[in-house]
Amino acid sequence: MSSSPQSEEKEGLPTGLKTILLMGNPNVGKSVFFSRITGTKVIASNYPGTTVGFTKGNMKLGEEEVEVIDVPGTYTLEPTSKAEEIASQMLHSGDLVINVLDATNLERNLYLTFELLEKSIPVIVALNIWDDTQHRGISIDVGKLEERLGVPVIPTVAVTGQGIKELINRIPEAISPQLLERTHDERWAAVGDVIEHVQTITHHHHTWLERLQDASVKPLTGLPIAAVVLVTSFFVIRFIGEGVIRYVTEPIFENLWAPLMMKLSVALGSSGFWHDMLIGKLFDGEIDFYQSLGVLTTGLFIPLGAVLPYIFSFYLILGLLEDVGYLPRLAVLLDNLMHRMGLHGYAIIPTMLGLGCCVPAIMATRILESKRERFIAATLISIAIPCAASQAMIIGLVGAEGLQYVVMVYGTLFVVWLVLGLILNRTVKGFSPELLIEIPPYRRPPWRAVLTKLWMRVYGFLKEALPIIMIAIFAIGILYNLGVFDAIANFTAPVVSGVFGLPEDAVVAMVVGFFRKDVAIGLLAPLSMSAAQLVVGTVVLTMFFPCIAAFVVLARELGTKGLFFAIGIMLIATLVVGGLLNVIFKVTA
Amino acid sequence: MLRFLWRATASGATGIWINLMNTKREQKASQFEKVNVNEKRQITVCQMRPGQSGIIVQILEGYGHQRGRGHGCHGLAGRLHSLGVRPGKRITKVSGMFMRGPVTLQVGQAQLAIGYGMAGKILVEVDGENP
Repeated sequence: MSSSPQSEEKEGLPTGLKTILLMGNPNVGKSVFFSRITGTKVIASNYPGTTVGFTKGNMKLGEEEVEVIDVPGTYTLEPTSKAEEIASQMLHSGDLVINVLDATNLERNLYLTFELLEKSIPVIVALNIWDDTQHRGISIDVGKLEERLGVPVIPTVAVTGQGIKELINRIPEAISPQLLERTHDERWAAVGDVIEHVQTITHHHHTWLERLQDASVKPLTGLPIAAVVLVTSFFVIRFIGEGVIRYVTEPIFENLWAPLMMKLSVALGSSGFWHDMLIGKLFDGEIDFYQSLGVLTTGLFIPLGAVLPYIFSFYLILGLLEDVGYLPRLAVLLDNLMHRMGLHGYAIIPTMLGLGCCVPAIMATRILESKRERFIAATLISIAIPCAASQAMIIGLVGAEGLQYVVMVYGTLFVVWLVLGLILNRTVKGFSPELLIEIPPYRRPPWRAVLTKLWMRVYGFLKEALPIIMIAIFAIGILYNLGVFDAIANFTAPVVSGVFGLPEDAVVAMVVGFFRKDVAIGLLAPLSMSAAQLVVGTVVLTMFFPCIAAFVVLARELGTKGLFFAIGIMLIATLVVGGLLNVIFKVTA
Repeated sequence: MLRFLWRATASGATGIWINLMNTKREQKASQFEKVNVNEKRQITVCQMRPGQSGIIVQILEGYGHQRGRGHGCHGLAGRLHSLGVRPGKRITKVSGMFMRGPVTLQVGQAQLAIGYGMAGKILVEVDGENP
């Protein structure tokens, strides 16, 4: 993906060109475009609103370094949502606009172009997704379009890089025609006039992809399709994740790493402070990667051996669903349900992201319009949606007791999500707007983009999680040695064993849950709990308090007051649900 | 006449689900539709059948999309407008979810999903059944 475009030095390069803005409607491929011209890797997907903040990068234009800003997608310069507000404000900070258009949807895209042409900023137009026009029966006369608009127009295919070089070469030709300001209707009339002379659409037969497209938003066919897609995704994720653990990571740890660690163990004298810290406890003279709790044993195994395979498989499947363009259809199908929870269907996108990691999920709640929706969505995600790291540990630990217990954990969390949503909808003040989204066509996922995105997410996990997990394991060792946990365990016993029916030592896991949920769930392993206790324990750990990374984003997105409310709701919900589960298990046992 | 009856029963058969989905108020409306089959009729997008096309006549402003104050300057019409949904534009209803769920529209080359409330504010002159 690192195409660092270099053009020969051009004469007449606009002097003082410092900042280039990439602007266009949502989901026209601005982010792919951005990574093409700057070489910066960014996450791009096939749904409107992938870019919620803005990303900056640099590109070389002749000899000069120029700043490029990937502006959130906007349909108009009159701000109708927060993302659009940001977009129109940013117009003042740029020196040139690359207006990216979706060539398969020219009419609607040209409206923004005409608005831009009225401003006093040079514009150059990229006619993106050019490769899709032909089989959709659309033909556009680029020369005529250029003539009509008065600015350079270059057909491009950002995912393959076609036309990008030419566009960059022609940047110096960009001008600002500074058309007179028009009204809505005059602008649409102008757009209509251009379309009439420039574009011809020939009828084409519906492809099977288009049929599938329609079928997946119709209730009768769409709901079964959704069920199949979600269930298949779950099992494929589990299949890949478990496969990698069983055939790759576990053998590596057991057969290669364990003997090495045993040598170190002997070298350290099989006991003592450093032995406990680095290797941890031995079980029958062997290392148990789940329970030893040494920095170099459990501390490495949890992130690399147990969680990484699931992070990989989850983001592979999510990336495919994103890039095919399925998620907005799920939003349409689930809109009704989500409305009852004070959200609209589009909230399903942050929720799905939350099954990977809370942090990007809570940030993605920005695609929702109202503050109320953002609060409800973020709170629900941080309470009831387990991240991929937690899920890996849940499936590993609880799954060993039987699949029915895994189902219980997921079932409980789903009910919590639903009920809490219903309650929040009734209690949180404010309004929730209706759904209004564009549904992108299904597209064949560009493999390179899918893999780049997967790599970025996996790398992000390793960079963020690996150090925290190792530090957390180290801290646990020290606190154990100092006897701090015993004191806390005594103090919290009434709640932990009284309400939740868990061993007193489980509080250690809850404390560690502040740092990392995966490690916390792993700490339940040595407690030799019953299956029922494991279910209660994992549910409580998932719901109870966000991990430190999620905490920081929650604070940033909700503000201090919102954060306090969210945490309050979280604590109450955890107490109620954990207590109830414990009672139910006791009664049915 | 026979053809008309056939069409009416055919649309009745395919309409079973639609009838299930729609509220009573709309059932009346759709009966009303059938009566005036040869004329150009103005109905809301909610009342359109999946697959039916028409031309937008008017977008009613006001209460509906955003139930709150402070956003008055950019109401429903403004947002729809920027998405290319505006009077004079030809649209086709792709589907509607049951229980007042969102409506999917084909507008030009794009598909949009809009809430039921908004869809009820878009007045459409649908194509006659027998041209």
